[in-house]
Amino acid sequence: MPTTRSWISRATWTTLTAAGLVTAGLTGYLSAAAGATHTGSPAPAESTTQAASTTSTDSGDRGPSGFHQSAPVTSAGTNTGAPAASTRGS
Amino acid sequence: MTVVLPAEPATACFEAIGTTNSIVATVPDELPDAVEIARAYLAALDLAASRFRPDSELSRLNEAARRGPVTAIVSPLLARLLDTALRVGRLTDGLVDPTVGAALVGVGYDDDLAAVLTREQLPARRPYPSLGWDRLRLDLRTRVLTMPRGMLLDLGATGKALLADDLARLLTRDLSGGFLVDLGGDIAVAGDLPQGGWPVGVQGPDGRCLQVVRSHGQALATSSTALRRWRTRDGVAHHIIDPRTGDSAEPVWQQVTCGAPTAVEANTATTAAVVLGEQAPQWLIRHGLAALLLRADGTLVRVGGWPQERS
Repeated sequence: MPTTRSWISRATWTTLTAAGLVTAGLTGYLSAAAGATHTGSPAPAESTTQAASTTSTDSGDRGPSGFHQSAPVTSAGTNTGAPAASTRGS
Repeated sequence: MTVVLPAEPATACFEAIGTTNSIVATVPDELPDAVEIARAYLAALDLAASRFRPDSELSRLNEAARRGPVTAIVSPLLARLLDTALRVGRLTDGLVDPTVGAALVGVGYDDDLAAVLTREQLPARRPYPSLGWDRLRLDLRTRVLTMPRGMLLDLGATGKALLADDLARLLTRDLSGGFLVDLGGDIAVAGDLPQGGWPVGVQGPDGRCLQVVRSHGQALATSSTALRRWRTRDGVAHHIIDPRTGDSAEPVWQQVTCGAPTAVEANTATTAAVVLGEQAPQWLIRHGLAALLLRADGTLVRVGGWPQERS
């Protein structure tokens, strides 16, 4: 069984997750749609907005212009049976 | 002596966010919990970022931006989605742009795809060049977003890819074993690998499997100009917009598939490649990305170390 949520029930955990009260882990951001959107409300006076925030949680090796690098996928051959999943356009 | 063989990975499929999704778990007992978590996350994504449900945060922002400039405090999830979309805009010099919402409406994609495909009157096709991702401003600390009048957001290129990455990490953190998360073809994996890696098919637009590859931790994504197409009074349009023209990208490629460390990067690369058309192979190589491209005439092109088929 999971260790980090063994102290709460599955239903409770899911509820907390959906409410945005469980973090997504590596990123440190809350990861659900909690909180209201106040469309049209004025920004706080002390707010200093910035274009295209430079805050980043990226790490690891990067290529010449920003993409992280990894080894390519490998061929599975032709006699491998059904794949676990398929990537497809959507 | 009794030898306990590892169980086969177990798969669950479900519909959400307008597409078919699946979760594959190396430990079958963990699958029900994993699916429950995934459903909760996708419900949150839909509520935050759907362009087609009027009560979503994104729809309310877009509606407000039709009337005038918008300043709004957004939810943590939407802030994260927008931050990712802005980073992608910067990474691709605007080839993948979250502000193409108006262009999508202009080429006729103004409703759920099923409604677009079945409407009786064909829409006109009015290209609408992007206002530019760099005119969208987000303060991550306060979560204050500002949009100019007329800017409509669409997070279709990065939203579910980001959720696939997040879900794969989250499931591994809280459940045992390894997981493959497939959100409408955007695939992320995390945790234990099956022996030999995760076998993943690259499915062509006709449903045929073009090749099976193995992921050893890489994410995979595919962007297609042959799906999500509809007729307009001015020809056939599809859903991948070239922000420079505000029209559907030239369909040089039927689809592009890419492997990368994250589904966001894989989807970013495939979307940018479709937009770039003939320039895509050079761009992919320059960025160190492995990809499989399917030309309009059915020819397959492999770049950046994408594996050849082997028997």
